[in-house]
Amino acid sequence: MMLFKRAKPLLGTFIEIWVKSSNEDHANTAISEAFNVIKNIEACLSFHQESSEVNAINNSYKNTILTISNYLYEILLISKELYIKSNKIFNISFRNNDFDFLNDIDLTEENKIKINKEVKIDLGGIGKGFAVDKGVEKLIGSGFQTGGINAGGDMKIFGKEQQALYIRSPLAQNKAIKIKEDYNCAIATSANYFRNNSHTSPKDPGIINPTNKQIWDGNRSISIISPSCAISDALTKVVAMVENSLAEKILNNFKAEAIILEH
Amino acid sequence: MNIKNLNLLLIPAAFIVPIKANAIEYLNIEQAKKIIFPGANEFEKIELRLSKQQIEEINEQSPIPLDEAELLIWKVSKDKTCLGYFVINDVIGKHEYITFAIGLDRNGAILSLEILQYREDHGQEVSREEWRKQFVNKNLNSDFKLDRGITNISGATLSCKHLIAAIQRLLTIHKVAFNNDAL
Repeated sequence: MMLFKRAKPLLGTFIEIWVKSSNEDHANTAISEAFNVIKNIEACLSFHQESSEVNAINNSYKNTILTISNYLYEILLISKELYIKSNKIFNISFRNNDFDFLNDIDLTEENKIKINKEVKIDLGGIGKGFAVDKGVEKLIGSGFQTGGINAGGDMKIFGKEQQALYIRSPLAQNKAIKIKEDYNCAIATSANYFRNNSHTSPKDPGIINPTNKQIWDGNRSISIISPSCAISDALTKVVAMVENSLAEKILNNFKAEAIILEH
Repeated sequence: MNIKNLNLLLIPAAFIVPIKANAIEYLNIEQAKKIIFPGANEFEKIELRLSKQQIEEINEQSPIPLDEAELLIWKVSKDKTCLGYFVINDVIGKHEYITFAIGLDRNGAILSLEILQYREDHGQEVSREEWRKQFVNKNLNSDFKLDRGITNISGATLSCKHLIAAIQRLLTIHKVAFNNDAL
């Protein structure tokens, strides 16, 4: 069995996909298919691509009913669960816009969204993790027993062999901390590693606390390990914003744990 | 207790791994050709030397300047019909070195892109010549593999904006210098 690993730029970052296989052609076909899944999700969730489904929602008038893809429907359901179980700390509203997940949109009919009030949503806080989960589902569906996907640090591994996981040090980008070895899990990390580095920073305003609308400016990293990369991705933002007792409760809701590296 | 707070100063040294020169080879050139152009049966190496005027024109339109006149390009065909072009290029940023392969169709539209080699370096800077030497001059079909360093790192990697700029540069080169009759 050999390790086949490839990388492409997608979702604004480098995506690595790997599997263990004895057949190079089978491995590369499946890896290509997993990249296509991620590319399709990028197209439907992108806030920046005008033709995306998210923008169709954002440009819709009140009382519109839209038919949406399976991916978008699923990620909205996950986001709604996160909204409820995180005491509304996790919110897919764009920047400081108000968004009441329970009333502004309706998801009761499969693959349909009813816009009750004009909204501006952004799935950037969960999209990468969701794409990783779906890509891994594709690899497992193709029959591989060990592999993983790393999307710019949001990662999911699966399989019959343990794989080592590291977290980049929040103080020194040239160091990583070995956290554990595991068979199946997802990890996502939030920190301000490169935010002040003009050669890498995106025009992202950073993580905003929805309750006091302040930009988080911590000097630590928060990593969330859970069965789902979408959940891990979303909870990195939540755990950063709340006190420990509430964070514990939210993490328990999702069978997740947090690792905070700090100085 | 599902929150672990780790003080970075107290983590045992055995668990701290340096990322001084993290390098990985994902694909060699032959593998990339097969993935990007699976149906092709001819790859004809093209000698494309850009004139000073072409370089100037490219640099006016490209987000990053072109710093070499010679490019690695193959014309790709299936049963004598041209499918497009297979191009190898690299981009060297402050901390990252990336060699990539890109497939363009006859009109210059991107078919696919694969990263061949990626190196993240926070130590000594490597010149373009040194970077290319370890790859190109080692016989393009060699088994040369980088694969040093650790993988499975969580936490933001460097952004791909330099790579995206290099792709834009290639598309500009195609617009200015690819002439189907000449190639």
